[in-house]
Amino acid sequence: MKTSEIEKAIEEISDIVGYNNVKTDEATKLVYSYDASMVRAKPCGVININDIELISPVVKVLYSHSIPYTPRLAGSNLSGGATNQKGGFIINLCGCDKIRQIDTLKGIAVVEPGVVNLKLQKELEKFGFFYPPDPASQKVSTIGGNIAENAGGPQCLKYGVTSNNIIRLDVVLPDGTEAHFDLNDKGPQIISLFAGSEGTLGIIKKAYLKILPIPKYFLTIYSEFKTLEDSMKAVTDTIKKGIIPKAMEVTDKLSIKAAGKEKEIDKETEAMLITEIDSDSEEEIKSQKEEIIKIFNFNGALKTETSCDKNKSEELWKLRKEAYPSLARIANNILVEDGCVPRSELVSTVKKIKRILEENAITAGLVFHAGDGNIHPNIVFDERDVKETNRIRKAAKEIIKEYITAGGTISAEHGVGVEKRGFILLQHSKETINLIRRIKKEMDEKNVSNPDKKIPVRNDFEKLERIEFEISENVKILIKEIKKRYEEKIPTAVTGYGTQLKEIPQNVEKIDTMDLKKVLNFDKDNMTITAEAGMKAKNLVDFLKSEGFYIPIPPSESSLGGIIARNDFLELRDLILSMDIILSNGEFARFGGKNIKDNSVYDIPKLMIGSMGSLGIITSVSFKIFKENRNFKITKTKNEKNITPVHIKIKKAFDPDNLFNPFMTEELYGAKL
Amino acid sequence: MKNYKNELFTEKIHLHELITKNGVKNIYDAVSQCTRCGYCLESCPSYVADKKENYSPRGRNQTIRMLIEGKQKDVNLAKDIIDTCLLCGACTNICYGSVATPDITLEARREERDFGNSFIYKAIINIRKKRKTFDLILKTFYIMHGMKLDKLADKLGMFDFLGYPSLSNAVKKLIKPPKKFLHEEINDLMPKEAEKAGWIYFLTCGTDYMFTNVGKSSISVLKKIYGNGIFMKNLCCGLISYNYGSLNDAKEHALKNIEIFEELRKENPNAFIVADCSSCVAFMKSYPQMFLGEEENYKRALEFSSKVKDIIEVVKPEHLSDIKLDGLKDKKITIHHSCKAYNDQGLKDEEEKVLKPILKENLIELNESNMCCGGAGAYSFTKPEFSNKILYRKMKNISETQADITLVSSTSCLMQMGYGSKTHYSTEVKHYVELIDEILK
Repeated sequence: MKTSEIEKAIEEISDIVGYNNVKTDEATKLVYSYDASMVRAKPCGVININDIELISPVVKVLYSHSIPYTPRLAGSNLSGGATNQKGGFIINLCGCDKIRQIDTLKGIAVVEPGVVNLKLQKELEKFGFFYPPDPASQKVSTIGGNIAENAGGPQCLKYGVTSNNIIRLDVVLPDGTEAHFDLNDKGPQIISLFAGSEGTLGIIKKAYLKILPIPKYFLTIYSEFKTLEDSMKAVTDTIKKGIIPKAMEVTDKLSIKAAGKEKEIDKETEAMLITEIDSDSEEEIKSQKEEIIKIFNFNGALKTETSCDKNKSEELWKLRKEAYPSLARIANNILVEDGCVPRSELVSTVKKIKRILEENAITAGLVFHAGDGNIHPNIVFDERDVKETNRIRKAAKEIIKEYITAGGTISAEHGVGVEKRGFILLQHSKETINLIRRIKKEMDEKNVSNPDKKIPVRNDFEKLERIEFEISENVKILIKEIKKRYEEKIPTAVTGYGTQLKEIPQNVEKIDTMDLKKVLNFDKDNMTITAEAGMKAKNLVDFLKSEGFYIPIPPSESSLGGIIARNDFLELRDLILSMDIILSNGEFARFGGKNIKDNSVYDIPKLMIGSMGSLGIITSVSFKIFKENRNFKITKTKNEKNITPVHIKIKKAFDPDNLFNPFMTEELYGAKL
Repeated sequence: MKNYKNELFTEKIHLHELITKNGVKNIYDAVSQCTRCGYCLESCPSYVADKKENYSPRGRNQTIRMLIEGKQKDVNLAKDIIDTCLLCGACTNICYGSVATPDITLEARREERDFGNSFIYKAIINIRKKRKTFDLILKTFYIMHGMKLDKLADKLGMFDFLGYPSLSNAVKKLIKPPKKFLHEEINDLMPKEAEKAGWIYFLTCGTDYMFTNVGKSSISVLKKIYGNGIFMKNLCCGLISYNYGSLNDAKEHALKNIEIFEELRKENPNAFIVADCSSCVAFMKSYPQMFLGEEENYKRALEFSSKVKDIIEVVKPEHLSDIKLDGLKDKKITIHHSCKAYNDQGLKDEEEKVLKPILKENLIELNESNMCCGGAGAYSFTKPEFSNKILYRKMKNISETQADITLVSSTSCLMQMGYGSKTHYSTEVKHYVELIDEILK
């Protein structure tokens, strides 16, 4: 970056936002050199934007001068995402904090990126509504930041994370062009790329969020257990029983000790579990309460206490909510090594984490969003002590490795940023990472939009051994065939059972997934199923029914791959956890696992929804499953045409030679390749 | 940790250690307790007014930490960051680690080139030593104010010409001045029986020179509730010097006041000290911090501060239990929690506990009731732009309640919000004790 370029850009940007809003003094640069992580990087200046209409013109200037920029809101980021590694600009969007509209009839809130999560909740409360994601940082963290990090929180067990609660996004793309993306768009579900993209693919200008009426009744259940294992078992048993509480949070004894509340709990207690259920039916609350207490007692609960009174319930939550603050009082720094594993691996992973902590003589409190398999070891240390910090970092890496080998993920809800980008190389394959890099490269050619975040900068791939589903022989045959066609540049028409594609041009050869119909993994404890894409929806539903489970997919003759490729209904995306894909060059890429939360790489499984076979061949998919039909909604997708400049770039990143369903490229992506 | 200096500054004029909620800490340790989580941001009036990290508690802590670590070279370059802090303490109150940001920020401020060098500060401190001269000058000024001469001077741009544009803002916020200062007539108000007093009235400067009615109400209420009491004949608590000038001067004032108290205590062993400006009270409660390391004085300060009470904490619900309300029946009332009562002293709902049973639904809850009004001592004169933005937010919240009366407990709030009631939303801004006095009558 040349100084002259920066100076020119400052002149131009000052004309747009005013001289007062471009700051390059040393003191300002220093206060924007950190976020809530341990990462430090000094920017060349700060641009304050108080009007969302000014985002695009400012970004255009920065792009034209090839100056890197980092959009920033409250800076409560725990992975370094809100600092600029390349000495570029910080774009401070905190001033864009208007709630544009609350529409309870449609169930939508329209907000600017700087709206603080809790402020939105308070406004919605007046209407008797709420917005489900409730990260611990909600007092300060903003909707823009929540979307960038795909934030979760305790109640996402029932209501899903941020990604599950967005409807439409207005985005300023890395080069400054504006575009909007909607769940009802025809073609690949590009909106899903932005949740968890950490500012690397553009800036959220306006978000249309899903809002829900506050359930009439709730109940808080506080319980104590003799071992952590017992409490986790109580969690999985509850979910297995078909009850999905709003939140299930486990806190271990160490955290309670740190809070100085040892005396308030039973001597034998090693873990406490706080559960909250909500419903519009008092009957349901009553029956669930009985059921849950039965399950807890069966798992050796030492005591249980319930309350449906707001003040009393707050008392019950107090110990859990004190877990983090009490550590903050005894130590200068806390490292929260956020990760997620399949629920069935939770107990064994926690044991290993405890061993690592002991071996390294580290003090930490363990807190879990247990219902999701999301683990938060809160490690206390003083970052001024270099030796101690190094020891902590070493142990943290060991913990991360345990997440990975258990088939889990390095990031559940705190992002990847700078802190964890290296770990991506341990979790994902070269093929997966390369695809992610191609997407970033296509969408941000100059690598200016929050560069060096989320994606590893090194190339020393060393994927760890981990619990994974196998690749079936039939998939291997497909891979071989696609590789052959790639070498000969033969275009392919990708189909499930071939019912959708009527007329195929002569030079195109068909390929189908009819032979891929096995169930690869069925995990009752984790409440997930992984099935091959050629399996008929009907067969999946029947299989689950015979095992006493349920999945809210209409039991049709369509293949699972087909349903996803067509984007049949809106709620489908909330069921999909992971996906295996064959790309047009014959590479096999896997995205995610059986984890309820995964923020390690871009959300490719959701992007594939609606892609009509034009991006890759889906070979298998993991779904969330349920114990019973709880009146799930099925909303037909509108499939409205909305082609943006991003569309053709996505196609290029996946299929640069236009080999998969090339006859659809113009219709789906608005251009020829 | 050996690589770094353990103290912010080495010169004597600074506090080297602070009493924090996590024990006594040197400045470096105290500031390093900030984990940068950012949870303080939305609680900070200067941050919410401008939404920039520069004006956030975290920004201040990190700047000061970088100053100590040598990453930021000169405190004068970060003046804007350090000086915009209102010292309201809302951040410490919400912080999980209870980082003592206001105390830390003030110590950084002491290092600034022009700290304590203000002509006005020096003039006040010097003249105040001769009370009669000070009274005379102030009265002359009040007369000029009555004749609107100060406003004329402002219009003519004289304050700008003199290099004190902030005076222009001060003049606007000046209330209707009293004809007599309270210390001139206080002896007539005090109980005639002075033996075995239950309470010792500490007269704060704001009450003495500007809001004499507040003091009259306090004395009247104390007489009714606690019977016999005496006037302390105290000096200024020292807060002005502590915040704007010389730490030594503040300590001198503190020691003098402690001495007076120790003398009075001989005759009145059970009496507590009571004052009606929450800022002064909070400062007196923190006297021990100034004497850390001075064993004898520290002990004396500790004893003194343990006896200091805010007027809002000595009025209890039972004192008003069988009251019939006549005059206030139709009035809506709301409470602004003065920062120094709520954040520093932890007096979070004393007023509600007393008033709710009497006023019932006429007591309206105020949104962001504990957020500073922007008065913050001289802040409203030195940082008028910020102060006015913060005031606007406060008055907007009050207007939502449609309150006829707004209660406060600090003289700085009385002045600032009194101004707000003339410019933004008309509500009668009163000290809490004035209302209590009215009810007891």
